[in-house]
Amino acid sequence: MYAPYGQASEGYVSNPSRRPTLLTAVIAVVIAWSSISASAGPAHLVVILTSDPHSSPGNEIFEKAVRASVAKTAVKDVEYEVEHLDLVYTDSPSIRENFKAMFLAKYKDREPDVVITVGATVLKFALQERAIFGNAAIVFCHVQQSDVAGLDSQKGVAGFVSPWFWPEQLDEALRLLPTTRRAVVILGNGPFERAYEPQLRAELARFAKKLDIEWWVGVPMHNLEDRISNLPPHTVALYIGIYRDSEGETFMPTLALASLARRANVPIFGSLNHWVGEGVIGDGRSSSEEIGDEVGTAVARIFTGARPESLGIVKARGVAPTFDARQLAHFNIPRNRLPADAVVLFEEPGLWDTHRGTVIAGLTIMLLQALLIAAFLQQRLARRRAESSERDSLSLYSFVADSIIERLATLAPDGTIISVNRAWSEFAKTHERYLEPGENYVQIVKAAIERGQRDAARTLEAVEAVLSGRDNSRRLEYFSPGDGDRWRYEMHIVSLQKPDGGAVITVQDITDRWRSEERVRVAIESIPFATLLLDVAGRIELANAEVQRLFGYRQEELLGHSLTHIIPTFSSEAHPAPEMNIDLITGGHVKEDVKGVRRDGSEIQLQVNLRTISLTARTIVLVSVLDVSERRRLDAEVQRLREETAHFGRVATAGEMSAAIAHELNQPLTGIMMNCQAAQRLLERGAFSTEDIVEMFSDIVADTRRAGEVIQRLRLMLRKQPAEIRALDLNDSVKQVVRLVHHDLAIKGAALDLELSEDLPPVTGDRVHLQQVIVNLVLNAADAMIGVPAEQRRMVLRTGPGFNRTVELEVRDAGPGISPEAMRHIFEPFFTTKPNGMGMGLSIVRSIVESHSGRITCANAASGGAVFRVTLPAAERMVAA
Amino acid sequence: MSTGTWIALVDDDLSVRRALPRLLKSGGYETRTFASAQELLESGLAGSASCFLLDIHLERASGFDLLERLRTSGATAPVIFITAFDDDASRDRARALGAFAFLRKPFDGGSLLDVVAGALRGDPHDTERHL
Repeated sequence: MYAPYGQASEGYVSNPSRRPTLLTAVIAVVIAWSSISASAGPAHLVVILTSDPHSSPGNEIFEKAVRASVAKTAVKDVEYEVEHLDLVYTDSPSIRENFKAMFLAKYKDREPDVVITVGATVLKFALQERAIFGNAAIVFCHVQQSDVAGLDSQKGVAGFVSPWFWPEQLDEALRLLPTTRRAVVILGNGPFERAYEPQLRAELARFAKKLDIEWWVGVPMHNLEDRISNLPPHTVALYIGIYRDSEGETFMPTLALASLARRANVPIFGSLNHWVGEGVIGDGRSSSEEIGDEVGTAVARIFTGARPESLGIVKARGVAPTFDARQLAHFNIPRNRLPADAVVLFEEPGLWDTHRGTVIAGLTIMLLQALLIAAFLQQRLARRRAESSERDSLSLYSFVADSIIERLATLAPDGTIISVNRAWSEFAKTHERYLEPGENYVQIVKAAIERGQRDAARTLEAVEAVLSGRDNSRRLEYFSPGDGDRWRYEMHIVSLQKPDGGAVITVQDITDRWRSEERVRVAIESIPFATLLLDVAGRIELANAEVQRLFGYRQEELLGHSLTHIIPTFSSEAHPAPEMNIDLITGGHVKEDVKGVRRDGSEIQLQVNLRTISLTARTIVLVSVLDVSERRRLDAEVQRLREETAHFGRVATAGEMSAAIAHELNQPLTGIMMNCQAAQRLLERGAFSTEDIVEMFSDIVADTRRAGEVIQRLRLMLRKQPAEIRALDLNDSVKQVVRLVHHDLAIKGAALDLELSEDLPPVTGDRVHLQQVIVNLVLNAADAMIGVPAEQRRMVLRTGPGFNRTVELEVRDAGPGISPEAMRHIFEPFFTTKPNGMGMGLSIVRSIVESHSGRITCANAASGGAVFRVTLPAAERMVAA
Repeated sequence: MSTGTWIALVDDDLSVRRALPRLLKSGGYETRTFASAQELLESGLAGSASCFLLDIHLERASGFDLLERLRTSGATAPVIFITAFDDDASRDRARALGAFAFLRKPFDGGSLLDVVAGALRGDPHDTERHL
């Protein structure tokens, strides 16, 4: 039959043309959680260590693929723990120490069998801290060949080297767009991007003859968005990834890509497969899914007895180049230029998908026309009822109305049912409801209200609104009366637009659609993070228990309200409503440090993640909200610890310099003492000239002042104070330091040559902290030269503009250089080669440099001696060319 | 005071070079000052000095190096070291080189005059008190 039940009985039939949406992802995650929480003593524990933050799309794909790959095998009862080290944003020894302590506690009694590391930084971490994980095998991936040198024979280690396919992207760009003359390479300046930048530059060097290559490294997002929309013709963009820009703002690379792609006037190439669809044109050869699959297979083999080292280090394959059909069309790229094995996604959808709205509108017009005819026929029918035969009912009206699935009825202005279609009367019969022509629909609904029927009051309100002419049409959704929550209907009431009024009611079974949304709702309800569903206008449709807990509202107090109710700045600052609708089409946002307001008026710091989801029938917005107040507090704590460490470092330095300080103080004190005693003796004898005495006293005053300055400098250095960030001339800092260490160098017999660049951009930072860096490097250099002949003890302190809007400071000594063994650990705390050293200096130096978004490297100079180089970002807003 | 008696002061610190001669003058001694070892050696006066007051931490050559140079060039006048650093190694070295005394800055003016007087008199090394 065509009655609604036919469909509804197959309530879970899903639309096969629907793309996998968040629904499936959410369900998968929920299933994964439940499997974790429900497990009782599993046989295997796999820890996935990743440097990416939680909810990074690539990670999600990877994790799912690993689980799926292991699940395909005979290995059962595998439990997974995913640890996000977030090192792509900030990486420092203290952060690593914290993770180490946490993992030690967490895995003390649950030794993992396998540790999967994603990325080079976490691999390094896992290898260094291997003891944390007991005898676990390490399976690494997402690393380059250079990251794993020497690991191929290491016991218990296997893994996959995956190339980034960067040069391949430009090859592809030139094949697709042979007139390309210029490429911009876009990357952030977080630790991850910085680590790969040299390799990237080396790999792209061969294009220098063919292309102008512009490097946009760490360009702030707002500038990027501007610049990428104004690129000249014959340009392509190569997107490497942005975790952090030079203003310190952090991003999820996929989301940053989406926001760039929206504005770009040139095609963007990128190598991650899941970026296809997020804004790149292609070619997505590096697939997290494929790597996850390979890693999963390796893990399963280890569980079934394979020795990890026997699996060795394998080069991950990468997938066929993949392209976005919409982008190809947009940039007029003929398909015959694509490689033979290319995969093209997002082909133009069919008529129904694109023009769904138009098709529905067309059908509606047809229906209304039919209704007009029906009304006309109805009148004629009434006039001719007496003499008419049964054939009269076989009218066009009946034909049209009876052939539609929706239940349909026309109402007179007073609510009397004039006519119904077949679907309506079938429904009425089955449900023994008196909804036949002649009955008064308004009265029926009123009676239902009396009986306390759910949703009846809303129905009455809508029907009366249209019958009274107050509204032209109304729409509402309700549950089937009397059937509990099993069926869901959507009712449209449309005015007939005639002088004498009346309305037509259509009722559609939307149980199928509603259930699919309901499953999303159930999934969202069970997510242990605060999550909301919004409609496209930003109104709250669902707020899960965490939201209610976090904000102190009950669900019903939030429903129907705008999100601004709890996140006031959200729509006004970040997403004005019209723009929000545009954003809905293309993807998501992460917004940091958003203020949320609780029911009691108190404020919380939030990270808000906004993601749109296209369901079959409509688009909804999934908002996840993370309370970062605690994280901010921890950040402040880390900052405080860092300052204390820095202070400790200065105290230690001051200790090492105490001899020099004593010297500096004792000189003026000697002057004062001699002058005073000489004056005393002359005055006692009465044999003096006034000029002599005056001269002595002015010298005493000068010496006293000088001693005071020494103490002042010492205090400045030892003062415990929060970092004071401002633009500084690094040359000035160097000169001040030279005054400070002058005597210390004299004692050590070391000469210091300055090569200060005249043309040095300012840097941003804390004066005292940066001076501490310089003092440490200079004193270290002096110590390094203790063993060389006095006349060779020369160091050079050089400043100069660095590569890519940076400023460099270099200290080169003439000592014996650094042994390869020491080179590996030189920046680690408590590492020292000095007999009396504490080994804190360089670790503190690095911590300070990194807190200034800079980096420090050391190397041995070709001429012998060690070179320490500090690179700091220049202070001006950087727009690299 | 016999004519021709003068004290050579070598110190790289200007305020010491200004203040010390005043005290010595109040004790009746004439002083000539030099900012570095080189300045003293190049002056050609070292041989005629009656006593040397040498700072240990001079730029380039140290006070110890200077003492050795003076002895090789034939200057025999007693040497008193004055220093802002006080460590056993320096004292040992001063003693080994046959210095008359070792004074740590800042020192008492009276003591300095006593030590200088002792040195000029040709007393035995004042090791008990100052070395």
